[in-house]
Formats: sequence, C-alpha cells, structure tokens
Amino acid sequence: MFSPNATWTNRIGLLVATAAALLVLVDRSGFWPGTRPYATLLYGWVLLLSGFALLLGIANVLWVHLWRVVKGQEEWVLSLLLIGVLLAVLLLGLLAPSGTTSPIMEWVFDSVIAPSQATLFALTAFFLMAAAYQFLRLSHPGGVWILLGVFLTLLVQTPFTQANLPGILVDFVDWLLIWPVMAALRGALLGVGLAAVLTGFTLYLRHR
Amino acid sequence: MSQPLCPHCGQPNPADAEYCAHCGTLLRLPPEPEEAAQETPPQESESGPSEEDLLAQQPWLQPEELAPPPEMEVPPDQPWLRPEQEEADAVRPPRQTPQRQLTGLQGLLEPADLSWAGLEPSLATPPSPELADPQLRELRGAFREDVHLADPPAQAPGGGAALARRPWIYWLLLILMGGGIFLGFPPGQEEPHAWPGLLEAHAAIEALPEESLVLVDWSYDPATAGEMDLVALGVFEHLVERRARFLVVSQLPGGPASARRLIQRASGRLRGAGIREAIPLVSEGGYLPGGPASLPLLGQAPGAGVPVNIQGQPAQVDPILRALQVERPALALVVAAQSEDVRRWLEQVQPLNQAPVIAVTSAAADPALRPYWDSGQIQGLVSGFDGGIRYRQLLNRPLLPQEERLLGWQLTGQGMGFIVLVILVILGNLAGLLSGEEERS
Repeated sequence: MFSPNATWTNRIGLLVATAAALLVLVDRSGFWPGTRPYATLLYGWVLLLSGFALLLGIANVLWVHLWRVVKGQEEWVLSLLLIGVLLAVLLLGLLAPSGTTSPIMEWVFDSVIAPSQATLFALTAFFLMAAAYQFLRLSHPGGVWILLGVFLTLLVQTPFTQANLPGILVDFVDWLLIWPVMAALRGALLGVGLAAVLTGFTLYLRHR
Repeated sequence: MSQPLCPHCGQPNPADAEYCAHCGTLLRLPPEPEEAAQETPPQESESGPSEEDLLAQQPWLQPEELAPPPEMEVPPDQPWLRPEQEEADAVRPPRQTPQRQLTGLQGLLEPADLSWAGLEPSLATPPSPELADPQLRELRGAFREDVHLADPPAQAPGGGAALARRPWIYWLLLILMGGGIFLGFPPGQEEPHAWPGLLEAHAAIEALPEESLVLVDWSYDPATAGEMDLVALGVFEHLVERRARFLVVSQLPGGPASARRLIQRASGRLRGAGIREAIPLVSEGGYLPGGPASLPLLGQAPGAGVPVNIQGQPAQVDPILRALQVERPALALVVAAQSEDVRRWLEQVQPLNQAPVIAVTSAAADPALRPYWDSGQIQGLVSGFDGGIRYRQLLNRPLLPQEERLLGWQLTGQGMGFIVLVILVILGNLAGLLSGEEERS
C-alpha cells in the first residue's frame, strides 16, 4: 500500500484519513447501524478541529501583521490598526459578562460590522453593472445564449417586470430551470463529486 | 545535498521528499521514454497533424483557427519569453497544434485554447522532475502564495481593470436609482406574485402544534440583510405567533447577531399588533464552524453539535437544548441568501433527521432551488421581495407606514437597477458594434 519512501507520519495520516472515510461511508450508507456513535464522534471532532483551525487563523493573522509592524513594511500603520481592533474586539467579547451578546459587542455589530458588510456588498452592484456593459455582448462566444438567459431570469424574478409578463413565459422559464438547467447543474455536481472521489483514490494509490 | 525542484510549483524540497512540501505534487521520476511514446497518439507527428488532416477530420473548423499563433513581442519584464530562454527550458514538451473536438452554441462548447499564451498544459506527458515552463510556474505560484498587493497592470484592454475606468456607469446607476426612489418610479407592486411553494410554507407553519421544535439554519449576514430581512420577517412572525420553540445555528460569524435582531423585530411587531404573549421561545446555538463537514452532526445528534447555547448555558438549563436531545425537530427552516446553503442542508442534514425543510431565500437563490421544491425535497419555499411581501399579506397584518415606505424604496431600487442593466447591455452592444469588435474565441 505504501511507497518505500513514505515517511511514518504520511502513513499514519493516510491510515487515519482512510479509516475516517470508510467509517462515514458505512454510516451514511446505513448498512451497519452500529457505526452511528463513532460517526457522531467523528463529526464532533470536525467541529472541534474547525474551531481550532479558526484560532490558528487568528494567530496567523496576528503574526503576519505583527511582523509587518516590526519590520516597518509598507502600510504598517494599517497592520497596527488591524491588530488593535482585533485585540479590542477579542478582549471586549472575553471580558464582558454576557460575552458576545453584551451591549458593547452589540454596538460593535450594529455600528461597525453590519454597515461595513452591507456597504461592501452594495458595491458589487457597481461592479456588476460595469461587467454587464463590458461582457454581456452578442458578439462574444455564447453571447446570445447568455443574454437570453440573463434577461429571461431577470424578467421573471424582478417584481417590476414579472407582474406584466404573460403567464406562458413565466411557465417557460420555470420549465427551463426545472429540466435542462437543473439537469446540467446536477450533472456538473455529480461529475465534481465523482472526480473528487477518484482523485482521492488516486492519491491513496500513489498514481497521478 | 541537492534539493529537487517541484515540477509543479518550482519550490525546492528535501532530497528524500516524495511529495512537494509546498503544493503536494508527487516528486517522482517520469516514466521511461518508451512508456511516454506509447501514450502519444500514433497519428500525431512531432509537429502535430497537418492543416489538411485537421480540416478533413473536423470540417467545422475554420482555416483561420488553425493558423499558428502570431509572434509575440517579448516584454522587458518577462525575460523568460526570450528565444534563448525558451531554449534553456528545453524540457518543455513540443507545442501541439490546437485541436477542437466539439463546437456549437456559438462557441460555448469549444475548449479553451491557451496556445497563444504558451500556457498549454502537457496533459499527454507525465510530470517532469525538472523545471517546467517558467511562466506556467509563475502562474501556479500566484495561486499558491499570498496575494501580492502590487500595482495593477497598466494596460488591460477590455479586462477587469478596464471596468474601473468607466465612472459614467456608476453615475448612471446612482442617478437613475436615486431619481427613481425620489420620484417613486417604477411604482411598487400592488399584488405580489405568490410563487409555488409559498402557500405550502405558510400552511406547514400554520399546521405546527404549539411549542413544536424547529431547527433554524441561519445562513445570511448583514451583507444580504437588505433583502433577506424582508423575506424572513413574515416567516418568523408566524413562527413566534405559533409559539414554536426554535434553536438557531449559523455557519456565518455574523449570523447569530442577525438572527437575534430579526427575531426581536418579529416579536416586537406582534406585540405592537396586540399579541402580548408573543415572546420568542428561542435558543441561540451560535456560530458553528466547519462548513458542510459539521452539518451532519446537526442531523445526527444536534445535542452534541450544540452542547451549550450562546450564553454558555448547558442543556440542563436550556429547555430547548434539552428537548433536542430527546426529540426530533418537527421542522427545519433554512434561511439562506445562497442556494448552496439550502442544498448542503438537503444533502447533509435532511436525510439524517428526516425533518421537513422550508427554505427562506433570496430571489437569486430561487431558480436553483425551484427543482428541489418540485421534487418534494423542500416542503415550502419563500423567496425574494415577492415572497416576503406575499407571506406577510397571508398573516393579515398591515405594514407599518415606515415599513411600507422602506419596502417601496427597495422595490423601486430593484426595478431601476433592472432598467439600468438593460440600458447598459444595449449601450455595450452598440459600442462593440461601432468599434468593430471581433468575436472572441
């Protein structure tokens, strides 16, 4: 199974991954109900590991930006600002008696996070409009089909236009979405899933 | 000791390494030349098939498409493109004439041709242990390494950078949307359309016995709250009115706080309407990291997935968490701005807990979710402004004046956005036509 050059850590990693994959596979297939508690345990570990990975990510961000500040790299002031805000919010959440639901954290959410996220997302409208001007052209490859799809979907989805559309057009778009479009989407999803499984097996078997 | 370079990313690795420590590529020797020769299609010579052969085999190809790529001028900042450097990279496989096996749909099905950029991957040849094309290596390195905040490319005609050089588009959008909202054009819809799935969602919640257990997956944050709050508000009003007990979890860091605000708003509206007992029976499970991999735990053992609520209270103190350990949820509510979140729930959770699912989504997610409604995997589907307004009408509670005004702005903005899009598409096509833009391939 293993290449003679594989290190022992690689072998252990492969064995753990294979065992976990087989356990989840057997559990989800329902052939052997006895695996359920062990699969649940594994899922719980996923949650723990994800939380730990998040902490590692925070540590990494801190490290990278601390390094920028220490080295005085370009725009180090922004890095310093990031570190300051990160630590302030972290400490506020940890020290406040009611944690993330404390009034100060609610204020941070309402006054900083929510407006920032909404503003950044709203900016995508400008980018989308510029992209529509640049790329939604009949002369581009597939341009006729893409434009047709865009307008049919938008006409049916926008309340302003949908109210005045004939029912047969709405039904036609519905049919398009349910049959050909969804068939293509599911085919692509199935292909991606099979490719992932095959790639996984290929990696295990050391063939590329 | 020599350090073998990765054929994929070009990074040095320890001499005994079997895989690249940077990208995971196998660092083994290529097959013998005989094996490589066997993998090469016999009909192709070193220089590739002739133009006549290609045209005879694939008559739909145009002769101009078979022409060799034009000679490129070597930019000063890309020395690897110089001929002498190309010779140094002799390990590179011979360039193959692009072959197109399939065409149609105005070129949509044609495979991409990267030969003009010298980026064609050597699919027919095994990975080489030595350096591959430096340009290809640089490209791979760009995907692997941190994002470089270097200066943007100076010249990108027709590319992404060109998008930022059209401020008149932004002004057009701002003026028309702002003007539309100011003048009230186009007018808001008087009778919103009830898409299939909406009445069924209402009926499913209406049929819930009091204090039913509802599992809520909250998959939107303030970025999309402008639309999603409007869609979800009516549904949560209904749930609070039905005195459902719900556990809210989210896979977005900003999800729990968004959920808290909307649920408080829903119960506040109910109390304003004279329903004094409208106190939400809610337990906040908080943020659930792990993405789709952590979802099966919610279906299999939600009590293990959410052992404490957001205030840190365990199941012994939180009655809803305690109930989740012994009873299955009567309903699952997926409140998502993107269809993928609903699809993941249907794949990872619903088969495990068998709870009927109601999806509350944005208008953008609706088309992709419609088939799941038709197949019965979703019991109800409420989406977009239409769905949100119609659902609230079903509750027989009139909108407050400020809510009605805000709704009118939202609908007007959306309608004007659509009009601007139509104008821009027409202008873009006219510009392309006038500038004699050739079809890209």
